[in-house]
Amino acid sequence: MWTKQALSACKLAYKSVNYNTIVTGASTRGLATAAGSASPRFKTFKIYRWNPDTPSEKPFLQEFKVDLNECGPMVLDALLKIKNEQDPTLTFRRSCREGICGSCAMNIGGRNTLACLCKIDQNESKQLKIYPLPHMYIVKDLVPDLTNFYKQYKSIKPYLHRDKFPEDGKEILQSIEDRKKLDGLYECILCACCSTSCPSYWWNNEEYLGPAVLMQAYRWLADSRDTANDMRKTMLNNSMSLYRCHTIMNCTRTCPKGLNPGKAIAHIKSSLAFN
Amino acid sequence: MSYLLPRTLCKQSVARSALSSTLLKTHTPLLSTSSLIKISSFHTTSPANFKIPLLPMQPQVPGGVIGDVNEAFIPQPVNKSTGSHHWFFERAVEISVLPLVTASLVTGGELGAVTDGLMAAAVLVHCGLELESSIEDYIPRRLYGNWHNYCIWMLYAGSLVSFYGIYQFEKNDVGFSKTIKALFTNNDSELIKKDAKE
Amino acid sequence: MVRKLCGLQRDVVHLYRSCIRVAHTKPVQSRPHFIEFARSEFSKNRDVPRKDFNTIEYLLRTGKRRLETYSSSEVKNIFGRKL
Repeated sequence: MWTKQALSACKLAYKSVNYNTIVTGASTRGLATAAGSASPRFKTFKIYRWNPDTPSEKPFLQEFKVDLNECGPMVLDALLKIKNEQDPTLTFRRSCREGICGSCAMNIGGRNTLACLCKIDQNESKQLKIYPLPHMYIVKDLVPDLTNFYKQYKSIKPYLHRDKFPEDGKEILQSIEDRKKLDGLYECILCACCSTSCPSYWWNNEEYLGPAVLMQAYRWLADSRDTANDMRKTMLNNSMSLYRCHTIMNCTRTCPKGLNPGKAIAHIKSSLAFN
Repeated sequence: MSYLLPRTLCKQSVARSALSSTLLKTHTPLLSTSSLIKISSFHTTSPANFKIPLLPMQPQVPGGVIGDVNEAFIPQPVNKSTGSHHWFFERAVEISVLPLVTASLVTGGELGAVTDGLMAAAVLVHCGLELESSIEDYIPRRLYGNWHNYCIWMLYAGSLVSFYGIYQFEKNDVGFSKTIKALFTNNDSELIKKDAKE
Repeated sequence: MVRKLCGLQRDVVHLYRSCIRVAHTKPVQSRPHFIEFARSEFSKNRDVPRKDFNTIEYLLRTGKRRLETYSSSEVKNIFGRKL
C-alpha cells in the first residue's frame, strides 16, 4: 500500500519538476548579464545542411537568426535553440554539453572545435558559419562518418598488453614519475578535431593514422605498465601510418582540450629512430 | 588563432575548383560559386579530393573503409627503409646541411671545391628527400598504383643527373658559393671572364 | 552490342549482383522478398543523373553498408516500403 503512495508521490514530484523546468526553461536560459534587456540581438548562424534522403540535392548553407539575449553562451546552446524552436530536422551529435564526450566536434568559424566549448562571438553583426568536420564523409547535416577513424583507433590496440601480472592479483603499480608521463595524453576524448584539421590526414586518411590516433598510440607506448612496446612500434614503422606527419601542427592549434598531439608524434618518431 | 585552418582549406578548395569546375558549374542554385566550392570541398563523397590531372587513378573502395565496420584497420607491412631509417636519414642530412651552408656563408665562398661540392650535394639530397615525401603524400601508391613508382624513379634519375651536374660544375666552373655570391653582389666579372674564355 | 561500362557503373552493377547473391543465401520462402527489396531500392534512385558522381558514390557507400547488415544470417526476411 505504502509503495503505491510513494510511487504516486514520486510521479507527482517528477511531474512538478518537469513542469518547473518547462516553465523556467525558456525564460531563464540565457546569459545572466543579459537578463531583462529589451531589444533582441539577432545573430545570423549559417549552418551546413545536407539531407541523405535526397542525395542528389547539393549541400547548402542555411541561415538561422538567433536572439543572443535568449540564448546560452555556447554555440551548442544556439544549435539546440535552433533545433528546438526553428528547425527540428537540424541534425548534430551532442551529449555531455561540457567538453568531455567529444560528440559535438564541428568546424565553427573555420576552426575545428567542440560546439559546447566554443563561445558565441557576441558581436551580432558578424555571421557564424558552422560546418561539419572537414574532409569526412557526411551522414547528415553536421554528423560526420567516423567509421574509418574508429577503425584506425582499434588498430593501435588501445588497451594494456602485458605478459606477467602481479602475483597477488591486484593492480599493477606505477611510480609517480611514470604516471606523470601520461598527463597530457590520457585526457584525449577522441573528438577527431585534430585529425580532421590535418592536411596530411585529408589527403591520405585511408592509410595515415592521424594525430588523435597517433597520440593514443604514444599514450600506450609511454605507459610503464605496458610491455608490448615492440609490437606497437613495428606497427607504425612504414611510410604511411606515422611518417605522413610533417609537423604542420594544426592538431595542436585546434585541440579543444589544449593537448599537444604534435609533440606526442615527435616522441614516437624519435623513439622509433633511436630504437 | 584561427588563421591557419581556413587558409589551408581555401587553398584546397581552389585546387578543387580548378579540377571540378565543370561539375560544379552545372549546379548554380541560391549560392555563389565560391561558397559552393567550399561546401563541396567539405562534403566529400569522392575517394580523394586532390587529384592530379591526366594521371589514371586506381579503383577505390567506396568510403575508403576496407572490411567490416568492427574490424580494425590493417596497416601496411613493416618497411624500415621508408619508415624510421628514412626519417633518421632525413634529419641527419638536414643537420649536416646547416654547418656546410653556414661555413660557405661565413667564408663567402672561399672554401675549396670539395666542401662546396659537399654542400651542393647535401642540399640536393635534402631536396630529393623532401620531394620523395611529397610524392608519397600526393601520388600515393593507393591512388595511382605504378605511377607512384614511376615518379620515384624519375626523381632518382633526376637526382643522379644533378649529382653529375654538380661534379661538372665544381670541376670546370667556379662553384656554387661563388655563383650565388656573384648573383647577390652583382660582381660577375669572374663569371664573364669564364664565359669569354669559352 | 554490349556497351562498355565505366568504373562507377560497374560498381553499381557489382553491388546489385551481390545483393541478389546474398538474397540466394536466405531461406527459400523469403528470397523473393529480398530480391524485390533490392530491386525497389535500386529503382528508387533510377533517375539520378549519370554524371552525378558524388551522389552515386554516396549511394554506393551506404548501399554497401546496408548490404553488410542485411547479409548477416540473423536476417531471415525483409519487407520493403510500399510506394
